[in-house]
Amino acid sequence: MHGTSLGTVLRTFLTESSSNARRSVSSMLGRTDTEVKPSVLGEKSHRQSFNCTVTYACRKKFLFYYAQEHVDFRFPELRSLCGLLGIPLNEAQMTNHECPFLLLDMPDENAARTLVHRSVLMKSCYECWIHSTSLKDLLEHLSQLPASFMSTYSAEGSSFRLRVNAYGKKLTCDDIRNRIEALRALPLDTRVDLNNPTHSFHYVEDYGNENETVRPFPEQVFFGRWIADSSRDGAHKLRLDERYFIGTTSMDPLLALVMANQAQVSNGSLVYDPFVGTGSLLVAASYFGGYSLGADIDRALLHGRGKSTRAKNTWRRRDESVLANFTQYDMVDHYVGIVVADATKNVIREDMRFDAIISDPPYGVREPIARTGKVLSGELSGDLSEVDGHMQIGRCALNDLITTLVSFASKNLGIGGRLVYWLPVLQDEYNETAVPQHDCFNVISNSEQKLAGSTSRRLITMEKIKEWKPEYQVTFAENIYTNTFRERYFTAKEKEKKRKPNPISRRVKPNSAECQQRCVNNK
Amino acid sequence: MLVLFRRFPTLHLLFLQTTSACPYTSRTMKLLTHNMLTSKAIKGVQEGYPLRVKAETVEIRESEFNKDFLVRLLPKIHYDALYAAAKDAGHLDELPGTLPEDAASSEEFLKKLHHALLEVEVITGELICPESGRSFPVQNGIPNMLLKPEEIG
Repeated sequence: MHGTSLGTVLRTFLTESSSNARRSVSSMLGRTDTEVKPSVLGEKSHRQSFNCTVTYACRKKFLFYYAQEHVDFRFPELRSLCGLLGIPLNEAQMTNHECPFLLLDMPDENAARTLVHRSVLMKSCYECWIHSTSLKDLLEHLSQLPASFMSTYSAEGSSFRLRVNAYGKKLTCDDIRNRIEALRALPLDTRVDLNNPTHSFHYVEDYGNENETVRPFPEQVFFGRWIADSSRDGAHKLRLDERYFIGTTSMDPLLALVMANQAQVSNGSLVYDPFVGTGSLLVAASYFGGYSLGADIDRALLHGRGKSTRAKNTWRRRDESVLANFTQYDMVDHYVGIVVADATKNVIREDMRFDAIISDPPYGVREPIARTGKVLSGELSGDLSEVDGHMQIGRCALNDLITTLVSFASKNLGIGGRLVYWLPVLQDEYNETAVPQHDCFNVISNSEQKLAGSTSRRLITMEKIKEWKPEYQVTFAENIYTNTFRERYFTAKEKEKKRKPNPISRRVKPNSAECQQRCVNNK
Repeated sequence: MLVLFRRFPTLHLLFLQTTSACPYTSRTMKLLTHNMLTSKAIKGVQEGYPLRVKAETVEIRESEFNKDFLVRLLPKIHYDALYAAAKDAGHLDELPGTLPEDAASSEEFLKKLHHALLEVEVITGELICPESGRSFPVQNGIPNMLLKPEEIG
């Protein structure tokens, strides 16, 4: 049921049951086969003219169907997961990351299953049998599937179902029915079971998404056996509207899970977040079996004091805490602890080695960057505020924060351990030098999530390759993340607004002076 | 009653607030967390490790034993610091004085280690710097390691 709308599922259900009924009726009448309506088959796409690829026999070709979301993160996630699970990856097959269909060679079905199980950006995985440009070609090969091959699926007592999916076009009820009628060419004669079949076969059409107008015929079509669905429902399970303890910058659960994947968190990993906040990243890390530890400078937040960030802005409940979130998701055994500490100071001993450090540092854009005492460079800006009656906490530049985070990770990660964090960027200013470099680290990936205006944030994944030495330094273009970063960040947003005026807002004010002038001119 | 509800549609929120209060347990500091903490940031302190534990309230809460995790954890922890902390917290509970040679393969030992690291939980107390004697409060299971600006080296 995963990955398709309820409507499609229902429609498939109706059509499948009716086609099944029709099949039994026709078999009673002694008719062998109904004719397929020619309108369904379509013509070959004019653009592409590759022959039909038939790959059922090798059982090594798998189709990974991605959700159309966070496109830039697809390949980094795939590489991280293959690295984690020890699955060899053929980079030559990864050509277009914007296409939601990815055909990959996998050593076996199990590898494909574990891979898709762990991914959150994929929807599902199929063993690809036939890949073609039109349904007509596909059907030709489908009807010729050898009996020796199909015998695996027609064993005594087994059942099957057929499902139809399309990307880039909404199929009507009739469309689906026609396609299912056509797909009866599949030489399989076992029982149909829609709810709990032994084998599930899927036919997927790809209409592409380049043009605004929908193509009349699909660009490519696939037929295959369903293997497994992904962990995308994890994002639903961890959704923020139901979470007990959240803050203004709680991470979107899906992206938090992507971060855990990028960090290669596995069962028994020790994960640390130096800017824990409400623990949204740790929850995701523990979802994949990590043991989580966090620190934050905000004592009131960790103790569940102050105003809630939920609607109505009431006071926080006293039991709101990171642990409460872990309890809510039944992962309390994976909670190690929370410390009130300034992450820029030595609170963790130097020879401690974490398996992963994941973090969403405060950029000073929505949340102030707070730290105690003197700063490395420049002056504390803003007011020094008294917290807890005795503590001085001030704002500092993002520069220092990034330097401290990377150098902390360079000491406190094990070899092969990963540091995954977000970096805010202005799209106009961004270039490669904005990404911190360190001799201990290899930058594994750098994916962009576009935000409002011309701002975005980049998810940086770094892997520790060498032990730390005192002469190693963090290097990056320091003029970007200075005290004025916040100002520039918001000016960029404003500029973007001016550049693209909202067409609706113009329509709302028809009596403006400019509009009247235009009317006069037209007359 | 019904009339009241009809007149004040948000009245039920009052009930919800009171009835749904505190479904979750209090926060606790595990000895694994203690095993990583140091007070090195204090001016003049060389090591600041291990911090002494002065526990007022200690709870034992069972958690699931994960052998893989403990085997991975074994080279990361300081066993002497753990032993001292467990002693201070009053829950030594058969933890051997020295790390056995077959530590990673002995499930019996790993279970004891699991108990000390993850099941003994300090709720209120203090962590004390071994060199300067500075005390860090543990309230509601959360140690507060913040320092005043004049204390930072």
